Amino acid sequence: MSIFRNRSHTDLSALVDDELGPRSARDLRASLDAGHTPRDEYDRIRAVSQIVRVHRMDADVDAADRRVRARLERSLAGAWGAPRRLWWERTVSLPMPVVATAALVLLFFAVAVVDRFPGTRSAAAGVPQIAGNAETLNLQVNVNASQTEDLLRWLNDQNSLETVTIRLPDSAQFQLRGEPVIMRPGLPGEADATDEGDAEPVLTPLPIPTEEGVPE
Amino acid sequence: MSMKRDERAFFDAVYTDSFPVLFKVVLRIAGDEDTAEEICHEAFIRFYKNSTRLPDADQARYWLLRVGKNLAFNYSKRQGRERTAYQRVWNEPERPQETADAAVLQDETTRLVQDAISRLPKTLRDVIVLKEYGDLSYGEIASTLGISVGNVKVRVHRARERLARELEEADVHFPE
Repeated sequence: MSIFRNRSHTDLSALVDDELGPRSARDLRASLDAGHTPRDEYDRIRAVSQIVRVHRMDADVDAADRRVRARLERSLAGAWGAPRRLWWERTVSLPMPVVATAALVLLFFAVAVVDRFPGTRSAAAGVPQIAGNAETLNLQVNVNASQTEDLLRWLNDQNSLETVTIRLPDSAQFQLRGEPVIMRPGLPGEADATDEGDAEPVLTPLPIPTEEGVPE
Repeated sequence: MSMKRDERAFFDAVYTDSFPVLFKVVLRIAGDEDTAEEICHEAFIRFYKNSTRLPDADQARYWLLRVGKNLAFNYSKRQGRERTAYQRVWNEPERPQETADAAVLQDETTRLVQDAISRLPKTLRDVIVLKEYGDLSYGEIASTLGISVGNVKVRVHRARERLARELEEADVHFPE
């Protein structure tokens, strides 16, 4: 009942504004005539609308139109030919000394940050640290077949990994030839026979673990 | 296929279509012609800067009405604060003398009506200003404010109910 009442009251304003459909307007007028909807409420709403309109300011719109148009012509003179760009499309010109100083300050802070956090120097340098902290580290690395040997060599160079598991695809797409051999650089003094500091370390085969246990 | 729009022609068309209603709304909020022209000028300068973002003339018109209405209300609010401060300092409330003639009473009623409108909550004030000052239809008000037509209908009615209460309390004479 109250929903119907509220709706009909809201419709009173719509009736004043001539915004009701023909059928709704006819029904509401009939309701007003029959006294089902209070007429004094309708008269009150209509009177408010009227008083606001009576006391609103009116002016010569055409004269104002001419004045504002002329003023806009002056304000925008020459602006129409120039391309307009949104703020993010605009270029900003800065004096060279300011740019140079800003670059130096940024460089200084970058150096300070790198010195303070050694872990940020290189990703590779962080790997042993991670491995030391985590009991098990699972990493999925996709490596081009031709670079597999390089990856294994690099992992070997870290000298801190205990186990490297290589998961091969279920469908065999390659053939195993001979026995798998893990290569590790020889101990100092015995492997580096050439005794040249920059020379590649000699890789020596390690015994493969058997089912009985890890061989010595 | 998208055609590049002639922005100058678009601006002119939107100006011609929108200026009368924009000016009326702004004038009735701001209260004087010079200020209304100033605000309309500012609104169209802003429109010039943003017109490339507005897809068509209807959207541009609604955008302009929103901007003009807000600029006018901001101005009106500033003026109201200044007037209140002035009255406080000089202790001269704007009240008609008992022997005031009809013109003064008329001015006083106009001020009471405008004050009552400016005291409405923003959601109600926006719809009643566009309806009574701009003569916009419910559909146009809905598009300008981004709300549904049903919502406009409810807000217009609530705004009038509140105005009626306030004006009755202020002893404003209602026309028959």
